[in-house]
Amino acid sequence: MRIFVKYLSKFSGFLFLLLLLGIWTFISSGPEWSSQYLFPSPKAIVDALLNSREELLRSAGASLLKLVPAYFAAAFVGISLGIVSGSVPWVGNMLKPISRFAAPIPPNVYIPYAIAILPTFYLSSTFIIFIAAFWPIYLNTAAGAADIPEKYKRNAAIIGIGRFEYLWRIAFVASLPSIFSGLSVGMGLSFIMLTVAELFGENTGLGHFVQFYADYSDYPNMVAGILWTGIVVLAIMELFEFVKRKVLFWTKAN
Amino acid sequence: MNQTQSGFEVKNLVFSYDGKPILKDINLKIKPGEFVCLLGESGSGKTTLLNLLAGLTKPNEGHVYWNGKEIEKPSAERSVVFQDYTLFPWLTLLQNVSLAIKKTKKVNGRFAKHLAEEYLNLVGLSGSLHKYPFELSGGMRQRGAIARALSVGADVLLLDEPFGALDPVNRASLQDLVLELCRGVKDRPITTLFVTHDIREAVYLGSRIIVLGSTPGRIIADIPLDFPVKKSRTEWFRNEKVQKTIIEIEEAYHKDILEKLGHTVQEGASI
Repeated sequence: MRIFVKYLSKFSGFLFLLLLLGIWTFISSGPEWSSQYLFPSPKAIVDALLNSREELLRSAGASLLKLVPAYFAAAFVGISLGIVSGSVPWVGNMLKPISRFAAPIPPNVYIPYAIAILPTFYLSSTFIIFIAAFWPIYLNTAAGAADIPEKYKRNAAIIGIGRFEYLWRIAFVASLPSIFSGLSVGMGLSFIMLTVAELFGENTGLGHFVQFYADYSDYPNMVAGILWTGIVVLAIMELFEFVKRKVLFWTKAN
Repeated sequence: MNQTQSGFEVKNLVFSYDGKPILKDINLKIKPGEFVCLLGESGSGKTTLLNLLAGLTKPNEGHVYWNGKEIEKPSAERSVVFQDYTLFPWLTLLQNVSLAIKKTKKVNGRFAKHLAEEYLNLVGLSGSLHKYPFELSGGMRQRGAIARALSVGADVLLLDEPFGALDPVNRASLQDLVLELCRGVKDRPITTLFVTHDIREAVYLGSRIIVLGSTPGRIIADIPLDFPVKKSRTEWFRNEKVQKTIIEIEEAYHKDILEKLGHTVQEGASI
């Protein structure tokens, strides 16, 4: 009995997924109160995934083409600015009012204006993703750099590390735990903004795929699009966690 | 002794933080090669005085000189080992020490690495060169920190309760290591200031003991030590002269505390 409970606990996540799949199969099998049309069966979704695989891959590629440059640009600007403003008090004080005001603005409210002022939808989408990712990355980096343990600063001073070198050799590395928190939040937000932008204004990408088939009431393909988006996001987040674990190995015992 | 080898000189030093006096009227001379132990209870300003000698803090009043030159900022001449492990956690032992050498001696990476290896061997860490601080015990980390402090060719070693967090066995072995490294080198005497609140540790290590009283910190005793050669630690501590000195320091310590308590009681009584 104890062994059974132990295994049940170990595989509970998998078993719960099976349960959900069972419920889904039941609902889509056409009980009177359900609609087979709105709830396509798991098999129909798998078929849609396989049949549309090329289009799904293309959509993922198109989404990543917007996400990756915008996210990396946000990471570069956010981390550089964050390190400087967290380490140099006058820069931090200078940027504080603007960041306190602008950071809480939900990035989606910029969409109409971005579409109006930027020449292409591609640029509008990347701009919105940039904004979404920038603030959490910048704020977390600045907080991390401002909160570097005194012992690292003293050590740097003792061995003669200069002010500029301090920024990249000490402040940047010591702030990495906070930087990764910011990168993680920024990643989540940029995915949200990516799909929002694609649902409305774009004609490529995962958001567009879902919206396109929803417009034609092709629900197997639409749900396949949602599932595929989940898989892509999960894969990227796992890759992110892998990199984070590798980079932050030294925080284990601190 | 010429001007360039005059050691430390502290003149009329006053230091306060947020309006609270920490150190008052400190006048002190430390000769090159001396091993001074700075004793005092918590809050007596021991660490502040060490930071002032290191150049990490500036006095509100008075002056601090090293070899006749006013100390204005930290320098590789004066290495510091702190209690809260001085190594950067994202670098291996070897990288930590060679970074310090590279920065202070302006030598190339290969030479710095070679020198770093030698210093780590000296402190008994030859088997852990490529380990990160989190893979090492507290004692090993402090050995690494001492290796780094010495590797930059410092004339002064400032140690701020470096063994405070260690178990007694590790503590004893590191005390002997520090003695060997700082007092054992004849051709290159290292001036050492060792901050501790452990009287036995101070008596065992120092060639001179300075006791700080608290609130505000001031020198209440300055005791030169001249003890027999250390062979066995247990026997040495049984030596009559050593025991007498320990009692003398304890008395100075307690007198300050009692005087302060008396002062407080009187103040309380007058209310």
